[in-house]
Amino acid sequence: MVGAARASQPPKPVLAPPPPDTLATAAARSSFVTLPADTRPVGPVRVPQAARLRQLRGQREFQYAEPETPEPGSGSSLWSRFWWRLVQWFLGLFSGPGYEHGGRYVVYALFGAAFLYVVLRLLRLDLTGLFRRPGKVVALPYDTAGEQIHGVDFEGALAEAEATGNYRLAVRLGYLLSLRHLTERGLIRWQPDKTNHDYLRELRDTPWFTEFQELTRQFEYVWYGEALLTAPAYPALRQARQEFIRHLTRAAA
Amino acid sequence: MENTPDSFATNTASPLPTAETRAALSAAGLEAPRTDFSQLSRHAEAIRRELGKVIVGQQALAELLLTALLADGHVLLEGVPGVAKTLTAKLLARTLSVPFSRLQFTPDLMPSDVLGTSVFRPNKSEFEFRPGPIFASIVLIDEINRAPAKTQSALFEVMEERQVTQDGTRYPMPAPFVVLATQNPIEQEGTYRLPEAQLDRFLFKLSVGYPTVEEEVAILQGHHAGFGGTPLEAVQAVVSAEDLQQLREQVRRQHVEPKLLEYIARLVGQTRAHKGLYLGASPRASLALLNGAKALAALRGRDFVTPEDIQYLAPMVLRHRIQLTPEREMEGGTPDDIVKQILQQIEVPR
Repeated sequence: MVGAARASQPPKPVLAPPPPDTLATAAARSSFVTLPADTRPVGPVRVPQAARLRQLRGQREFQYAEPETPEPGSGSSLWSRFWWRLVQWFLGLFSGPGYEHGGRYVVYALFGAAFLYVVLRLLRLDLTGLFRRPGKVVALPYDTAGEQIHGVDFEGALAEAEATGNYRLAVRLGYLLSLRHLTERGLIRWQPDKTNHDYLRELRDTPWFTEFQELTRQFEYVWYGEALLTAPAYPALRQARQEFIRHLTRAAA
Repeated sequence: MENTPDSFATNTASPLPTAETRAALSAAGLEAPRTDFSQLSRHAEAIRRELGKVIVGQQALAELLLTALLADGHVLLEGVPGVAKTLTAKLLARTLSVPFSRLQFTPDLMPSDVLGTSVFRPNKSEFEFRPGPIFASIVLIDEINRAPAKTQSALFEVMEERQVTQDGTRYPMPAPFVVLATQNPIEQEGTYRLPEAQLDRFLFKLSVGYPTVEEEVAILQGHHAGFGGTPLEAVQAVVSAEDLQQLREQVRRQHVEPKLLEYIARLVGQTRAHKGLYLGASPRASLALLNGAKALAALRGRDFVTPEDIQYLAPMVLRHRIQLTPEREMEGGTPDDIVKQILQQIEVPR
């Protein structure tokens, strides 16, 4: 509607430009002060004093750019120079033309590897297992323990135990002696982690099973069960052991 | 029981001394028994017989459950659905004439649903404790790993200390008190990993596997012929609470050679030093191994423990108490592998 009203009004006449402002017209308005034009020649350009400028530049407050760290002088230690060079090399990774021409990807890769390493360490993962064959359960070196039955003078120790009336120890030594005979004949494979029943299982299909089962029973009652073994009772156990070993020896011969 | 970690070869020596051995031991003056196990053998055989009416095979499982009963320990039975975990636990409970309770653990179960809660009595103007289903002698918790940690933690006190403390009042549990819990393997849908503190309270974790073909045929024949009612009705109570307490007392008096105590300590201690393990077993595991070995020896007719007993039980005692490192798990290692390695590393005292 406003547009329509304006459209109905007659066009305004074009105004004539104002007359040029002259001193006379200005004076006629009487609010201006007339000043004479400054026609003097321009003076010389002022230059700050060089000494004063140097002094100001020397002040830290006016140094806006960080100066490059100078390499430690010859008086500094090798260690500090090494570190300076390392830092400069590291900073150089992020600047310079090498960085622009593909070097950045090396930097990205380094950062990626470091990140991956941190993650793996945090999760306690060891991915090296992916690149190698699964480890087999390797039998332990039992040589040292094997000497327990192979390096002992059982006959002497047995005689001593019997002489001192330590029949419990005598039964133990006798049982170990039996195990040594079985091992030497390849009937069982001696290993310190095996129980007596492991050896029994190895002997299951041999003629020695029953006899050794009896010996095992006697040993367990006396050694693990700490059953009281008297002097009159011991000979029966000794005889059973000696017969077993005699049978073994005879069969081997 | 084939294909399961707990299906061990039968003991080479018979549980009781043979006639020849008896004669030799008698001649040696060793036969005089320090403990009379006739009552224990009779009760154990009766329980085995009752279980055998319904459960086909699983002799090793039955022996281990009896061992846990005698050692006063809780048992966690793990296996895929449908291998008679719950049925075995229910049947075992039925062979004992003691209060029995069953809880089905669900994701929305609350601690008060298990332990009980205090109810306000308007006529007395006071709160009264209403015991929960945990107050029984044999408590079967079915699918225990379906409840979240909040509910699991409600069991900590009652399983270890045999008591429930509510509103400052201590409510002791009846004796015997045994928790038999079943769980599906944690890879199953909708299950939670049990807290370590709770796992540590189980004497054994037993793996229940699939039966052999012959056993499965026998199961089918048994069900086809019927049990003269439901399977549960076929089983009767054969041991009382008092009997069980007496048997436990016998087990406590079992003889253990000092070197075997050292052997147990070294085995368990090695779990704390093994680099494939993130968490080793606690001293409670040592106690569990000791008590279990004593009970197993008694069941096998001996009044003393042998290294065989300890080695036999070590996987069941340790497998749920140790945690593999993530990398060992990624390599496909299992707790049983680690336990086997440890058993190979420690010399048997002889």
